[in-house]
Amino acid sequence: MIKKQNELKKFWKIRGMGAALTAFIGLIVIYIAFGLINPMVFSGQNILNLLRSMSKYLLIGVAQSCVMITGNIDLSLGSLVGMSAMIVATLMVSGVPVIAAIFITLLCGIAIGILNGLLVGKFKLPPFIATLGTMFVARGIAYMVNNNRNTDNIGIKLGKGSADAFQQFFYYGKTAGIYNTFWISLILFIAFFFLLSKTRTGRHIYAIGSNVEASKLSGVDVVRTTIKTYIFSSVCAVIVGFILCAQAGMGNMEAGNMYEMYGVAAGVIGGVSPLGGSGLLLGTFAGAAVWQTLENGLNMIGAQVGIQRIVIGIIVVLAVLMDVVIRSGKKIKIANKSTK
Amino acid sequence: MERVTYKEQDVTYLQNFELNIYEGEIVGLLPINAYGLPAFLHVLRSNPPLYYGYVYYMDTLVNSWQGMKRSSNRISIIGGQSSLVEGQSVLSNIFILRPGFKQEILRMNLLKKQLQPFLDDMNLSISPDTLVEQLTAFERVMVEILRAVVAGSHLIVLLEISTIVNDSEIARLHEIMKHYADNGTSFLYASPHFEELLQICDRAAIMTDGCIVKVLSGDQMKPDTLLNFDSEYDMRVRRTLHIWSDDNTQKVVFEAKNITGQYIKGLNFQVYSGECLVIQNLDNRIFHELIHILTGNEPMAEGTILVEGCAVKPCKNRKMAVVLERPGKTMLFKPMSYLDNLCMTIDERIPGVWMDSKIRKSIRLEYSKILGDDVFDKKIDDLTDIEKTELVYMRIMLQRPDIVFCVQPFKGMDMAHRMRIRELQEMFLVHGIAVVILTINMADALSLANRVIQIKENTVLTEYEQKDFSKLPLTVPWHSLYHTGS
Repeated sequence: MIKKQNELKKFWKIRGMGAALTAFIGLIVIYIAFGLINPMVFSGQNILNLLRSMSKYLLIGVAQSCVMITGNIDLSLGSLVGMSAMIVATLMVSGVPVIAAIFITLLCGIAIGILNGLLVGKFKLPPFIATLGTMFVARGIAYMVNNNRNTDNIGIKLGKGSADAFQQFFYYGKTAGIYNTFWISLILFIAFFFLLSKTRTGRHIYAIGSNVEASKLSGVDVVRTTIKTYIFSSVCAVIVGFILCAQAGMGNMEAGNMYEMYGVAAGVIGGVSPLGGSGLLLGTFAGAAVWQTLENGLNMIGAQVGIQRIVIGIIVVLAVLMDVVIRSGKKIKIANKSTK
Repeated sequence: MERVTYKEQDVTYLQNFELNIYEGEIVGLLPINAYGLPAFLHVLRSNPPLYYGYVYYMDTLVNSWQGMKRSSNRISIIGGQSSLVEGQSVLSNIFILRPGFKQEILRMNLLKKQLQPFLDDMNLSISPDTLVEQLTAFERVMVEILRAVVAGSHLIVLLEISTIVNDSEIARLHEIMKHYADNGTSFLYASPHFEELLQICDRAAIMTDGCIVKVLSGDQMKPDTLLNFDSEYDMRVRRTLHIWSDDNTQKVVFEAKNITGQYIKGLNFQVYSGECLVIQNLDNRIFHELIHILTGNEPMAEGTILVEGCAVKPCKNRKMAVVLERPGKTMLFKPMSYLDNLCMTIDERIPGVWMDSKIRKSIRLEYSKILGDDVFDKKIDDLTDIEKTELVYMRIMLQRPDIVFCVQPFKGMDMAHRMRIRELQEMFLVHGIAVVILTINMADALSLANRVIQIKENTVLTEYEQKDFSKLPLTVPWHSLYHTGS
């Protein structure tokens, strides 16, 4: 019994677990509340749609959370989504095979990630400014890739088979009764969860967000770890780009607009600290789900878009406020202890 | 301060605290432990509500348990943290950025003329337009004293000033303190080393657990007076003083070859395995540059660092470790668990440490015998200062480097903390890990050293073997033991 209690205590004590569980509880409460107002919320099809729609936010949330844990931010994520959607669509429209188009787009995304990492890690630019720059660059590329126009249908040259396969794989297809989009995001989520919690690189990511100076002295290559983190986040953004491209069956220059902020919101709702060093991807999962459930629920009860935005905004501010209050509360506690 | 009892959230920080400082007096303050010292400074300057007692400043009751009379006292506190505003000139800091300066239109030439006599008085040759960040540590302390005098502070508190300025500068500082004391300014000189207080103070108050336990008057200001208060530490140092013999037949583990930077010019030194080398830096700019080079924050213009004969980039190689000043504050990862902090540098030796929880469990089992089991369940913020320091040193122990650089390891520590740090450094030495202590103040460090290297301006080195320590021109604890060789 005592052993079980200890295990439970340990589980609760895992950094960020409290915030993650709070977000999950919040998610359940919100979901049930909307369900009571409109029972359609509980329908199987709505759940499937919910899972599929939250996948984009989950991936962007995972991307932004990784960066936020290092104490940085990536404002280029949304533009990167648009850029990759446009590049992959333009390539397919031009007749490039799907696999090659995906591969080339991934390389382009990774290049942006490396650039972000170098600017922030190596050249010590404030991450806000550095990624603001690449945000504009990536959006500019999204515009230029098809001469300032959205693309035509991706199957126009490839043929219906290849285009359908792409769309089925990333958006419309189902595996075990659940949309592939969700499976893709879940697999990536598990991979990143493993990376952060069970690997050396993961510890280094937490370490540099917690104390850069101590990390350097502990032999952590801060530049390399920062670059790696931005690459991870770029890869996630590129995959969201594929999802949006598959959903629309074409490339949209405005795809991914504001997604970087959705990523921040998913992260902070789930307890990832914007100050770096702490947070669990489990929390980001809950954060993305809360975000999507709110959007979906408010939609289903017929709330105006403005109301939706206000509610979501308030929840984000409250989540960050909670983080700040907890941290400052801890500081007061420490000050009292150290003077005792 | 008369019978002052001060509490914060029901915790008593000062208990029946009694201390009188007369005009023009230099009083020493020797904190045996750090408890209550921040509260004392707070009460001294800010007049917070008291649980009991009275505080007088310039013969006026300024605070009492019945209610405070004044919001704050004009008392300046000068210590490790500069109170000067960076980006502003010396002139601005002394005249313009002080309470009571009301001139809206600045007449800089007039202010410069007004400043000059003060600078001449101190024999200080700095331009009034010099920016604060361009000052040396000694100049910074001088400017802070000057600002205090100009602002009309009748009491100046100096906190562990010998960890900021070097021996020769301390002598100059003492002269200036005496000069201002003669003119009516009082000083409270806080230092954990009685030997330092003996050099300058008229009287000394010994503080422990938030209480003044004894005030030593002029005739009691002798080196042997204090033995009762630090006997445990003293005995430990005496017992281990000559254990770490200088054996230069050991192999060279670290070599600095022709290190050159902005201030450092062609610095060369070697460190042998298992020895304790103290590098005393008598030039602050060189000191900070050397730390930046060793921590990898600043590249060398020229030169090579060799660990076990191989050229390395500082801190990229885990054969070399650095413990920064106040490691409990600067070197821990607060959001991480105790065990994660402990294992942080072991992943090169044991790559699977983050994958396999069994490895971490076995590390916990092994180290709980040394550190205690309860600390592993605490959050980093909940650890005591000594536990935090232990964690940093043990992390390095797990890393097993060949050499550890400790930057001012004893700075700002009370006696119990210094004792523990000394034990931890001894532990490195027992395991054959060379310890290099980078310091400005030789107190504490000297008693552990096999060799001392003094670095002066233009990177001139003077090296002392243990047998020559008596020749060191110092007044630090246990230095006299090297004269007799006891």
